[in-house]
Amino acid sequence: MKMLTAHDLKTGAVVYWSGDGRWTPRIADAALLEDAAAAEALKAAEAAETVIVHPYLVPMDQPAAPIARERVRELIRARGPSTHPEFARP
Amino acid sequence: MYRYDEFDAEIVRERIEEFRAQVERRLKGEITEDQFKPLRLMNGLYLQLHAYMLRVAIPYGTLSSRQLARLARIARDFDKGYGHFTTRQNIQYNWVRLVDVVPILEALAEVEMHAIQTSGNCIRNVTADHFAAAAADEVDDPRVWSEIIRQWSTFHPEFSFLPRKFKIAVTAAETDRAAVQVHDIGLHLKKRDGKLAFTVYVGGGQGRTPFVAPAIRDDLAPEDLLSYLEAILRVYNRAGRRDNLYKSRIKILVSALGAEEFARQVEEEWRLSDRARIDLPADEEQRIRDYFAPPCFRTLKDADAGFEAARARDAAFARWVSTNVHSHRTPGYASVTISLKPVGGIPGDATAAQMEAVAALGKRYSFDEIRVSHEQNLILPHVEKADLHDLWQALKENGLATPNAGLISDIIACPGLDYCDLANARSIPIAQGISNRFADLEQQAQIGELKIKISGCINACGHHHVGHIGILGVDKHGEEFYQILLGGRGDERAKLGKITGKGLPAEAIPDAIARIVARYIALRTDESERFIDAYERLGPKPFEEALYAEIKELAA
Amino acid sequence: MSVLLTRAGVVRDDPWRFLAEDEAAADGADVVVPFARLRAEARLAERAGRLGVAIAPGDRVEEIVDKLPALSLIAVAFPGFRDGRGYSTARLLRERYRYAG
Repeated sequence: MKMLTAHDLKTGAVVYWSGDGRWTPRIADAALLEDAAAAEALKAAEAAETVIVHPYLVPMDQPAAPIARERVRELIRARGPSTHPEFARP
Repeated sequence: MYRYDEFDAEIVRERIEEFRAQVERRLKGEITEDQFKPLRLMNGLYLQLHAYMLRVAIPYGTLSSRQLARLARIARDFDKGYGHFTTRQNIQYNWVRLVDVVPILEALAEVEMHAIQTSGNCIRNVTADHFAAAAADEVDDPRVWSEIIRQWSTFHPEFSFLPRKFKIAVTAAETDRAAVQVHDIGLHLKKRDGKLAFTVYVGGGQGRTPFVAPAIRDDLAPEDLLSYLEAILRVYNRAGRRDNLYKSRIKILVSALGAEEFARQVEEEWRLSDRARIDLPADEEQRIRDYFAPPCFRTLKDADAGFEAARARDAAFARWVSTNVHSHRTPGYASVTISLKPVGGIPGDATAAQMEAVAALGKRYSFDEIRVSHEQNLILPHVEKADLHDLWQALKENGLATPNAGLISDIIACPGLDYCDLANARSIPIAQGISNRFADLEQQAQIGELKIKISGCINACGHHHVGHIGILGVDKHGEEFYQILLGGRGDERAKLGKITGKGLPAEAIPDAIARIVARYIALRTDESERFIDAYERLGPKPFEEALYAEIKELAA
Repeated sequence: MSVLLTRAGVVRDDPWRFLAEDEAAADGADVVVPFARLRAEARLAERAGRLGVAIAPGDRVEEIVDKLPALSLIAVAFPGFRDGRGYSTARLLRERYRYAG
C-alpha cells in the first residue's frame, strides 16, 4: 500500500492525497492506495503542477503509518519538527 | 562596513524583478517545476521537509543593527517568528511561502542583503573569523579580503557553473576560528618576513569523503590573490569531475592529482594568466579597506574598575565573563559571544524578539556591528568593558546570556531530519539531550573547552568530522542511529575525527558522552589540559573503552 | 540550411554546416568541424570556403592555438547549462589567445 504526498505550491505546506479529489494537510486523511492506483494518482498529481509541488509515493502498512526507510522522515513531515511541539499538526 | 555600490543595488533589483516574473509564470503553470527549480535555487529558495526554506547570505558573518533588525522583522512577518543561523554564517528561514519570497527579497534589498549564490554550483558566501578587527592575534582584517573575494565571485561569468558548490574561508589571525582547512579554499593570512602573505589551502572539506586541505602556497602576496584564485578555479572548472556528484568537489581533484601536481597546474595556469587584468589595483583595495576602518575607539585604560567590581560582586556575571567575553586588541574593550545555545535549546535559533534585542544592543554597545559565528552564535565585537555588566543584564532578560561559549553545550548542529530534506536522522534533539544532560553550568565550566558537532547525514553540515566529539546521524532500516567520532578539530591544527565503533540509538547518546567526559576528567593532567589535548596525548583507546563499556556489559 | 539568431535578434539563414566525424568537407562550403578533426586533418584550411571548429566541454583549446588564425568561427558547445567548462574555454580564447573572430 502507498500514500501520495506533496507540498502545496504556494505555501510549501505538506499535503496528502485524500483519494476523493482533494489534497489534505492531515496524514490521517491520506488515502491508502494499491500500487496501480497509487501510480495513477502520482501521474495525475504530476500533471497538476499549478496546485502542488514535488509529489511522491510513500510505502505504508496501515493508515498514517509509513514504513521502511521513510518512517521517521514521513512522521516528522506529517507532524512538524519534533523540536517544536507548538507547531505540531494533528 | 561595506556598502553596496549602485552597481550591486541595480543587479539585486533586476534579479528580484526577474524572480517575480518567474514565480508568476510558475504559479500560472507557464513553466514546470523542473524549469523553475534551478531558478528558485539561484535565489536561495529550497523546498525542505515541511516548507520552502530561504537561505539569506550574510557576507563573512557581518551585520549592522539595521540589517539584523530587518532579519528579525522578516522572521516575524513571514516566518514563525524565528530564524536559524548556520555554520556558514548565514540565516535560514524555515517556513517561507512561495508567494512571500519576492516581498522578503525586497525587504532584504532595502538593507543591502540578498539570497543570491546561497545555492548552486557557484562560489558561495565567503566566511571569515568572527572576531575580525577585534582579535589581538590578527595581522589584518580578513573581511577586507573576504569582501574583495565577494565582489570578484558574485556573478562571476566563468565560475557560475562549476562542477560543484565552492566554499572559501578567510582568517588573518594566528588562531583559526574560521576552520579554513576544511574548505574548498582556505586562506590564512600571516606575517612572513615582515610582509603579509597568504597560506593557500585547497581541497579541504567534510562530507562523504573528508579531507584536511593541503597548503599549496605559503607565500602568496595579497595583491596577487584574485589572479591566483582564478587560476585555482580555472584548473578546477576544467578538470574537476562532472560525472559523479560525490566526486565533483575540488578535494577529489586535489587528492586524485596529488597536492603537488595540482599546485603545479595552478602555478602554470597562473604564470600564463593576465594578472594585471584580474588583480585589484592598490587604490581599489584601499577603497574597500576604507569601509572596514576601525570604529572610533575611545582611549581607555585596559582595566575598568567598575567592571572588576561587578565581576568580584556577581558570581554569575563573572562566570559569563570567563566564557563569553574575549580579549580585544584595543585597551578597555572586549568581544562578546552571545550564546544561541541555551540549556536544552536549539543551536543557532533566534527569535525575532531576540534578534531585535541584539540589534539594539549592538547599536548601543558595539558600534553598530554584530557578527554571526560559524559556531552558530552571535558576536558583539567591540564592547567597552565598562558596559559589560549592563549588556549582560540586557542579554539575560532575553535568554541570551548562557555562559557556555566553547563549552560542552555550545554545540554545532545542522537542522537535521527535523527540517532537512537530505537528512537521515535528527540532530537538534541530540544536541538538546546532551545540553540537558550537562545542564549544570558549574560542571560544564569544570569540564572546560569541548566542542561537540552534530550532523544528521553524511553531508556534514554540522561539521562532525572536526568536532572534538563528532556525532553523525545515520538511518538503519527506518531507525535513527548515531555514530561517534573522536579527536577532530577545525582550528589551525585541523584534524579529522576518528570514527569509533558501531552507532548508538538517540537515547544512549547523552550517557555515552558523559562516559567519555568522565574518562577525560579522570585522565587529564590538570584543568588546563583540554579534552582535545588529553585525547592527542592518550590516543583514542581509553575514550573508546569508556564509550562502549556499558554497552559491552549490556551485551554480556 | 538552418536559421541563425544574431545579437540583434534578427533571424537569417545560417551558412554554416556542422560536419560529423566522417563527413567530407565540400569545397567552397562554410563548415564547422569537430575538434578532433581540426587537430588531425592538416589540409582543412586549404580548401575554399570558411572554416570553423566545434569545441566540446572537455576539449582543451590550448591544443589548437596554432590553427586559430585560420578559423572564422568557433562554436563553444554547452550541452547542459550546468556544465560551465565552456566559459573557461571562451575566456581563454578571448583573453589569452586573443581570438577576435
